[in-house]
Amino acid sequence: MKVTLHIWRQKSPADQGRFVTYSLDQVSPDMSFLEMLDMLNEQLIQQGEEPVAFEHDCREGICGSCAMMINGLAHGPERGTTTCQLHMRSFPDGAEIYVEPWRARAFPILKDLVCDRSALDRIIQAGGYVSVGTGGAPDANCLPVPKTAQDKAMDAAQCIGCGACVAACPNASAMLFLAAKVSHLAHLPQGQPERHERVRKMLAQHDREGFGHCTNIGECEAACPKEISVEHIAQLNRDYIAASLLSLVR
Amino acid sequence: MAIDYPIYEHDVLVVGAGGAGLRAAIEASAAGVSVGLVCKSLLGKAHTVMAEGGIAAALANVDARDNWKVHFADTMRGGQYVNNWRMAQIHAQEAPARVRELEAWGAVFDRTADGRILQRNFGGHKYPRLAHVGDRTGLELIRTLQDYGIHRGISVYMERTVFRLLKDGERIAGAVAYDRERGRFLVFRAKAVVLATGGVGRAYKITSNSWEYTGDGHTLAYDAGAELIDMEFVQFHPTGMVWPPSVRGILVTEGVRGEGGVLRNNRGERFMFQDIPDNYKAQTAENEEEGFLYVLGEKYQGRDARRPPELLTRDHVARCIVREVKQGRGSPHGGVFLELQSFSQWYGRRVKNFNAAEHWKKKLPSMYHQFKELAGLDITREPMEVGPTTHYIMGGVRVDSDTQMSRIPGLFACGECAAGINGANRLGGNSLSDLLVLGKRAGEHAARYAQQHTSLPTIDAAQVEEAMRWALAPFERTHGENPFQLQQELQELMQNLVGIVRREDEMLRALEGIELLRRRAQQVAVSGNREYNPGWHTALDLHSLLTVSEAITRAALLRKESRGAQFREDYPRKDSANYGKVNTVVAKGPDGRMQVRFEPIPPMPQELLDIIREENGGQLPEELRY
Repeated sequence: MKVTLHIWRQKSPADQGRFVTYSLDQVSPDMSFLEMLDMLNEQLIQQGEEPVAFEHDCREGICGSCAMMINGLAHGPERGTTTCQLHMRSFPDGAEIYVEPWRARAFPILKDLVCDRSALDRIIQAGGYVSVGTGGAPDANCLPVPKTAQDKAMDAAQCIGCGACVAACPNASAMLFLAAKVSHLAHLPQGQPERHERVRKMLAQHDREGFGHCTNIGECEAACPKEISVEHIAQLNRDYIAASLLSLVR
Repeated sequence: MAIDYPIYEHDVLVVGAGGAGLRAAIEASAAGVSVGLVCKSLLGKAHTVMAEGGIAAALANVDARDNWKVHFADTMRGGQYVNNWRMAQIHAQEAPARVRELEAWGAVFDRTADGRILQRNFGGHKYPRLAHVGDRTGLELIRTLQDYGIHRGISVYMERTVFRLLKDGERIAGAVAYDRERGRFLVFRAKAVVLATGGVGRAYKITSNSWEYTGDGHTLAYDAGAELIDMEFVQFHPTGMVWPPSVRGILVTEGVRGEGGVLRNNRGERFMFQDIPDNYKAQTAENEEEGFLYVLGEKYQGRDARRPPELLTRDHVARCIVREVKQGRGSPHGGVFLELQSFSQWYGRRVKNFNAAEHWKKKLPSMYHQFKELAGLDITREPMEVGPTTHYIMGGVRVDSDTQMSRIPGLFACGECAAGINGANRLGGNSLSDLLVLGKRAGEHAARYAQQHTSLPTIDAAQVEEAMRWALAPFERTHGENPFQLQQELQELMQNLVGIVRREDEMLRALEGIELLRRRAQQVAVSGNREYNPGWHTALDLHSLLTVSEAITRAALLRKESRGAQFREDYPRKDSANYGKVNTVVAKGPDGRMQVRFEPIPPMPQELLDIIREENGGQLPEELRY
């Protein structure tokens, strides 16, 4: 099949950036989207041009490295998949495809399709962990976790931190990411001691990074490759209100 | 030539940020020393996330009879008794504490009815032992370590590849790296270095390993003067995807066969029934009916149904598949067929209104999605094509069993790039526990070593410049070989000549081929600039790939027997009298050439022998009779 690509090329963070159009023939419908980009890069290298920079690693939808807006949709048209799991058979022959990096103030573009997502790491750093020391492992079975709580925690823990929720949100909010992290630990007994402090610290960091707020649009859930539900944002809001009230009382 | 480079100073430098590297970094940082963590791609995007089965630890939550002694004996049996017994002991003893620690840090596990960590059965483990979360345990493990580690003040250097270790006399002094994005060099000055770089899968054409697994740690250590052991033992998983090409090698979990999946050749024959080793005949089903009844956990002719031949050991199934393909009975893309339809039909006759599609989606959700998304194939209705894939290397850097330090003072290794615990074959589930237990120990002892050595080592500018000049050499050549071409040829060579079934004449040819490729690799040329240049990165990886390939081949030639993961067609039997008490050791000789030798395994102490005897029906295996 044949495709026409309009790819965002930007040399450096300071560069203006623009769409550059490329045509590719002989694309196999069985190729993954990233393989199609590999093919383009091979051609560019042969022509002595600079290849398109993009992130990728596992190519199995586990690691969350690959991240691009494809025709305006985070990770492209298929639901519940990452870019690396997207195949060219999802596009018609002769398709025009626009490829852009994630766009959000908190995700500055480094080069072409690569943006700096370390803001998400800093949100975790602000409180998305359980701060017990190393060594001195707890005694056996001192932390019974009901099966139902485990299932809920796991639904949230599926987040791979790709940032699609931010890219899809008109407010560029990382609320679904934040909610997944908060909700995961909120459902587990080991997350309880720091539960309220965690949500306040993480939300404060979220705001400091320049992410927007949630206005219940729901694009994030639709874009999430792990199909994490916005219910977790409700959990986040409940925890945040409780934490704020408690801090007033104290 | 003066090249500008920044120098970063740390007490402990950890190379590799998978499970082992992260766990080591966390432990070292907890000891209060300054820690740097370098990784080739982004933090947390390591291969640990691919582990599906679980973490082996004798928690005894599901079967109260389990304890570290049984786990120890299972690990030794799996490794065919050439493991480092002390490491296997430490691993079995400390794994439960490491899992509970992970739980305390917020890891999610599947649960028993009363809220304890659920454990599942796995090949080679006597009792249900694998703590797990569905089929994404590795992902959960790395996420927990990453989230926990990220707040500890570890300096993380992402997308940097270390290509040379530096020494100050005998002692380790640091490392030289380049960053992928800009191609700039940087130097680390560190009292202790922990290697946790993972495996060597990319030396083979078909592998479940991603692009990063090029044997870097093995080669860094070898070049710096450390020894490698057990390099002949490379584990091939019998079922990987073979089509489409982009996903060739990705694992198809053993669970597919466990749930009734059947292997067939292109004539439709269920070939596994035709080749059941004598010593497994008593444990294997005599016909299709009994095999399917085993899947359901039912009785056959009044006794427990026995397992279908598809569930024979990994190495045997892999060899049978290779034979079918070699003899022209393979599937269109060079594998064999794995199908669920036979079971569906059989089961459909027993159960009314059996809905095959729903059944398989529930039993094998991730496999259903994997084939649907990657191959556009509905496994509930069509057969899969599968073939063996290079999965794991048991061999690696030789380290002390208690401290994980190599023979170079200050150089540590853990995880897949270190060796000892797995012997000739690794049990499923033991890799995640290995990286937690021994990763922690590596971090702890690296920190202690750094604290005991108050002075920072000296960086020798000549060593640094030499390394950088070496790395830049491919740019100087205008006409030369294409690095991708060489990598591909090496992968073909290893796949065909030092693969699952090995023979002396083929391996001697492989050695000649490797030597030739090495000479050609010195003539590799790359074009373009240093910024994000995959051609250049591949040119540098070639050195590592060639080094581990040669080590695997030389060790495999020396061990003239079949044991665990090594199958020699010319020596098809295990020869414990000659090879049951030795490890192969690879090191760089004074002339710079690779040398390989046997070294005796120290005798096992009495208390451990007693455990093995008890678990082995009152008998000691030949390897342990002194």
